[in-house]
Amino acid sequence: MPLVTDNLAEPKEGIDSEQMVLSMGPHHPSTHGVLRLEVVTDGEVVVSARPDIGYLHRAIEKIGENIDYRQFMPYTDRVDYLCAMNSNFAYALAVEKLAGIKVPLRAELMRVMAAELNRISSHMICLGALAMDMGAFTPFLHGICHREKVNDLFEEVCGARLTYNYLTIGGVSYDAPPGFIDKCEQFADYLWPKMVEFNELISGNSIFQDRLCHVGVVSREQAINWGLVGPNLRGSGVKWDLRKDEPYSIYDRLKFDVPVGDGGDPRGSNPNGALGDSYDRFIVRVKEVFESIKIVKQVCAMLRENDKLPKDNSDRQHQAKLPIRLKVKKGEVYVRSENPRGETGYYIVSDGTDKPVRMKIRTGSFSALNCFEEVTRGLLIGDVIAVIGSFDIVIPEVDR
Amino acid sequence: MPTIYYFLTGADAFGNALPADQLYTFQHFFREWWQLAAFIAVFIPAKILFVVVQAVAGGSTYIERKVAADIQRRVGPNKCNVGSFLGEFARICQNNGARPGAGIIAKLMGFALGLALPLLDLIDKVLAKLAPGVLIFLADGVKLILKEDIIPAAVDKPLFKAAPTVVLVSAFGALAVLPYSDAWYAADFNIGVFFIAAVTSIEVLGILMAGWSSNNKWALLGGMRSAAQIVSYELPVGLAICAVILFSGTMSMQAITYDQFAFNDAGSALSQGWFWQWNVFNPFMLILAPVYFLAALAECNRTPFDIPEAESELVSGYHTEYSGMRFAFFFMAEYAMMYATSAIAVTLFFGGWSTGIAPLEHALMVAPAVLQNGIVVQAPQFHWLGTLIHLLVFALKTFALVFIMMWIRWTLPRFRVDQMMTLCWKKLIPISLFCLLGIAAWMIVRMLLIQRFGVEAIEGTLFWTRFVFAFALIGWLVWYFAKPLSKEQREQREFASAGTF
Repeated sequence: MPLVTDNLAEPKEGIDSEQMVLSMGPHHPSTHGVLRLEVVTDGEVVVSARPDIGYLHRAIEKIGENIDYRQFMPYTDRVDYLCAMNSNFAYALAVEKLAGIKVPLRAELMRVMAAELNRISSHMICLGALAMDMGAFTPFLHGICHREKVNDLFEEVCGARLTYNYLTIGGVSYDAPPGFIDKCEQFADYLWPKMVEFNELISGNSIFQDRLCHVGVVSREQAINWGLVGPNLRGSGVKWDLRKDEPYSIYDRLKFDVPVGDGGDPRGSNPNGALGDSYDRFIVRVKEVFESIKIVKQVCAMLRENDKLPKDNSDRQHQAKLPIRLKVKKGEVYVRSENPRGETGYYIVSDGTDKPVRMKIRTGSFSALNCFEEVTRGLLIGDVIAVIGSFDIVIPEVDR
Repeated sequence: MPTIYYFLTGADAFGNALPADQLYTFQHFFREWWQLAAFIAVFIPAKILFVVVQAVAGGSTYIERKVAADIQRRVGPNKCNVGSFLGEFARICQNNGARPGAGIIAKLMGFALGLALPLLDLIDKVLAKLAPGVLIFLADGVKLILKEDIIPAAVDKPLFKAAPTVVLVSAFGALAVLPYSDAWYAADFNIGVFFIAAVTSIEVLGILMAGWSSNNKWALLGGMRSAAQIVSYELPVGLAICAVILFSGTMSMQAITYDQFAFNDAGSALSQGWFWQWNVFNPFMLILAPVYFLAALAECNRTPFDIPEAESELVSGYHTEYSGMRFAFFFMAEYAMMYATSAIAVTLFFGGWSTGIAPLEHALMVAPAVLQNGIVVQAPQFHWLGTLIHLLVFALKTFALVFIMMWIRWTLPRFRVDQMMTLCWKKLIPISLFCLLGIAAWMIVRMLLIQRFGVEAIEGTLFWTRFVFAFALIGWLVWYFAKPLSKEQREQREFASAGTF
């Protein structure tokens, strides 16, 4: 299927046509928060769509330079509220590397469990919201329904349902409550058939595929050049996942696959599309949910093994022993981890006190917005919505 | 028309004021008794239709929300019960009667309603089980009436105000000629289908007016999309209607229904009125029926064709700037349109109000149809019970199609604007043109065969052919939807989980 622009004839002599500037957002229903797009359209065709960001800027990085390392943890929740656990994880990893802290195994297991459950719940929002942007309301509510179950688990383990503040520097706040591992396994068993049902409902729907295939194509080279990360990068066929390629925590001990986009491959999941189109980014996330379910099951088994070990009563197993006032060595560190929206990196410069001198956060949504104008040129207004949805842009992560 | 014009303006067609003795006043307007009678004869059925359809449209918003809730695994509306409303009223009366210094009437009322409270609570429980939250549509309606009718400063006021009315009138106009039952209908004239096609196409004018006058870019885009969509989808609808007209030889909605009884068939009386005589069991009509239904979905702006009001793209499309009662007009028109197009589909393809069971139809008949040269000159007369049954059957069939519309809405995503046009111009129109030609060929071949072999042999053969065809079709549908998935299909549905480790 060719692009819309291929069919566009040059404006004929004598026919006056005027370009229209549409201000899409910040209150538009499907700009996923307070993103504003300055869309210049020629009829229905988009001439350019320039993202206008900054409506949610809270100077989180600057705040990080004025409070001590432990106090900053709740702010990382707010960097990306759809996957607060993963944001916590990235920050904790960075500070631990800088301070040279060793995290106990029990804490690592709980961290990976929390991160993967949160990846599932974040993808549920993304997949459902993309379907809702395409006009199907039902998959969104199905996704929310599954996400609520993850939230129930998180509420049990840390008492919060959105901004968890669960991970701490050196471990996690609480150990798994009694029965938690069973519930996680039950959830994994519950979600697998539900995801198959989700595929039947929306992924395999031909209207949905027609809406997303060949829309917003990002080639391999473009994806790398623009610095796309996470599912957006893998959707373009680049097999790059930090959990595999730069394993942190206990990911090197887990078995899982890294799904990549296979647009145009007749045996793949996107035979009618092109490599790196919106459907590839969508289906990569669907597959990642399946992979996360596998990881959750493996971590459950490892936690059970861990339960059998003799307990040392003198120390808490889920938390490394640290001084009350955490002072780290002088130096700088950049640590990145694989979040639902791609690599989240924390760059921290320390001068040996309990506060960082400089903090910089690198997020996936921001780099996805970089190429937005290029990708949406020549598409229709309805496609712009599809591209926003398939990039899974979360505005607080862009603005910070 | 001129009479009404003089009456309204007090001037002739050229704008000259009429002399006082020629000036029409109210009693002049109804100068003759028959004028008043004619006015009542038009006004009362119209009012009844309007009120009934309004109630049905309101009720179906409740049904739509329940269908949506069921598909989306949630409870849906569950407050606003009939019983709890009454119970609350009784409790208030009871408290009022019990307060010191209550009047004798308040005391009596409180006492009586207090006695009735257990009964009312029981009713509440039963009704809350049967139809939880059924009064929500009344609450919605009241809310919409009470809301401020905001007219933005920069809109084109006359167009902005007129647009919802135009849309509503065109949607309700179609209801005038629908054959609700054999004896109950507002009007049945010999160009019924044509009238419907004409009246419903006015809707696009109202939508365009709304989109243009709102002075809002989103509304404008919605209005333009809608104009393109509805005008395009008029064509498959028109072609499908043409095919039925060709097949039935009439444009009257009642006559199309009677035609599906096959009274002009020379077979026995028992072969008149079976459901396999319905138009849909003709092979070409079988293709046309879904084509008509799809195009009708597009004309109603329902998913997957809700492009003009695409919430995620165009905020709210052409009614972005509307609020309160004017928005409710658009809303009501959408539901009225759903019922109108479903009812037309039922009449054209699914036998209208006929039950489809020949012995039942014949038992309910008071006087059979009178035929001359194989043409019905006198329609059959039915017992009043039959008329009632036909009304219910018509409502049931219509609602079945409306339910399918709701089902589709809460399951499918929407098309993109160019895909929607492609579907219409490259798929639906060629298909319906082919079917129109097919029906024409069918009529010619049938006529030639009748000339060669005689009407009895051909109609008898057709009757049994359709019988076999209908049952084979129904059997295949049941088999198709009831059979378990093959291993390959199951794997295909789990495609996202393939390729592990």
